[in-house]
Amino acid sequence: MLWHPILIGVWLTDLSVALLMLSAAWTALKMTVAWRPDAPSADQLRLERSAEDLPLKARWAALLLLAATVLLAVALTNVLPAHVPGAMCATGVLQAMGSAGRRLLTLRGMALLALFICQVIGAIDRHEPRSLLAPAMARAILIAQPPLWLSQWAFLEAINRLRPHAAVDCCALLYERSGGLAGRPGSMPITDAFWMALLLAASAGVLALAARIRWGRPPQRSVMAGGLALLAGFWCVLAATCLKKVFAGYIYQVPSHECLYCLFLLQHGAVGFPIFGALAMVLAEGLACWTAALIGERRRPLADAARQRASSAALRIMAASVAFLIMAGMPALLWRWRFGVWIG
Amino acid sequence: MKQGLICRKVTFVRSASAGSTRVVLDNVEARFAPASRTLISGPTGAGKSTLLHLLGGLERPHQGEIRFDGQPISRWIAPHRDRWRQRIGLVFQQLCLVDGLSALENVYLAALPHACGLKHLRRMGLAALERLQMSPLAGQRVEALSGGQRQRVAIARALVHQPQVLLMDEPTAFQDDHGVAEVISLIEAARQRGALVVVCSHDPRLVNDSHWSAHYHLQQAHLTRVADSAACSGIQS
Repeated sequence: MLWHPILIGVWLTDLSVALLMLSAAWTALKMTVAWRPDAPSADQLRLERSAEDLPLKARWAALLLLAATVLLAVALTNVLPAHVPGAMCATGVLQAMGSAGRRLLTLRGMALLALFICQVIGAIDRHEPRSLLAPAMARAILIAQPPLWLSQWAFLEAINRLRPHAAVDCCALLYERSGGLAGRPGSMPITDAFWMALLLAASAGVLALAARIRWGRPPQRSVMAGGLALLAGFWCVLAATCLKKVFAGYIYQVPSHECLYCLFLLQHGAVGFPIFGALAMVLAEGLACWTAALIGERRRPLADAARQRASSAALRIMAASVAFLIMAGMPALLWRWRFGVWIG
Repeated sequence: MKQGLICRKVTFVRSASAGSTRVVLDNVEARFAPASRTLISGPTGAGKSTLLHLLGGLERPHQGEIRFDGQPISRWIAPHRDRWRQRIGLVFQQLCLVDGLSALENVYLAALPHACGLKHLRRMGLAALERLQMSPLAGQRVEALSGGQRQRVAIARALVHQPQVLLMDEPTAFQDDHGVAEVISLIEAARQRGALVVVCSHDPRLVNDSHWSAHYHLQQAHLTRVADSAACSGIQS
């Protein structure tokens, strides 16, 4: 077990999130059982008072979890490689953590998304004095619990597997072993041009759909927003793949190196943080857009506020996807301008 | 304003010493109509101020609800209760003026959510002070004023934005007979422009006034309606 101060910081922040969410979960549980908005009984009014604190607790939990996740990303990519023999970036550290490392990142991402949806629900609900979305907020908080608690467990499990004396392979060795440089034997080669065409087509789709939600008046906004959320999810996967297969080489300035974790290293300007931040924003805002559109359809008094939120989500998706294309594509364009050829 | 303020089975409990509780208001039912002036009388400690604070959204009932034009304002979430508080005028029993500020500044502070521009705010504040013959003292710091003058500043502050709902807690406690007559005429002027006025007081000079639209009496946590309009005259004399 390796208890680096930065990991203690992550753990303590996680502990604060857990305590906040525990008290929120208790209120949310009572709300799902005993919420009776038509009767101003003593129990209902007490619940309404507690329900007012839920968005606040969820907001603080989300902010703290986000801070802890950024801190964890810094630890995995820039701090812990120095303490794990053989590791040069987060690939080696995650290799040392085994399956718990990947589980930790996945569950954290899910918990963050669930808490982000709580924020979206809370922000729309503030526009109406009667707290119409309190039961939905309670359900969202309960949904956020399993990934949150499992990620806490995965964190402890992952830290427990870190051994300062057990050596791991570096990312270059791993990718060479898995055929990263030469391509897998027998597999059909997919050219960079194909990946780029696919990414540009998907980007055009995302931008067009987001612009329609932002500036148009689509008749079935929730269907369109659902489509945007799905397309945004697909776009994120595609963008990460293109980053790995096409753009990474231009950023590292080597013919081929497919390790995405190296993007977070300081010697590469830690460009991984803004690039993956843009990807996360597209994914989260896609879900926010869909959630807002569904709320607008089901709760008429909140329709205006929900439309505004869906519209701002669409704008953020456009901004984040364009920012990703610029950040990832700019090194490739500069390379082409300097040397007159593409790496691929 | 169509339906005015309605209390529906309002119960309020205050924690007393050593973990025990005291029921201040028990199943209170009342209706305060638009363009009316209602008096709530009762002995000291009966819960008059608490009822006024509940109507003004400063406290929340433990049971029941307070509705304004059909909307349950007592159950609104905090940001919307703030907006409700901006719509009413409230005269506190303890006055709650801001020491260190002048009378005029105290008055136009309450108009900040309703007007923009210092010039406009000053004009509104001076007009409100003028109605209470306090404009010559507008520049004086409130801590230098007498009790009666401070109370007039507090009344001017409640009236500065011409609220739809005016809640007054013992507004004549520091006033002489002439001051009481002025306060009554201001209450009547507010009623005539369509405001709903609720006054809590045990001052016999107010209780004996014959022009109340309704009169409630609060005792031992129960609110009972004493009489309507003209019948109010000389109730407690």
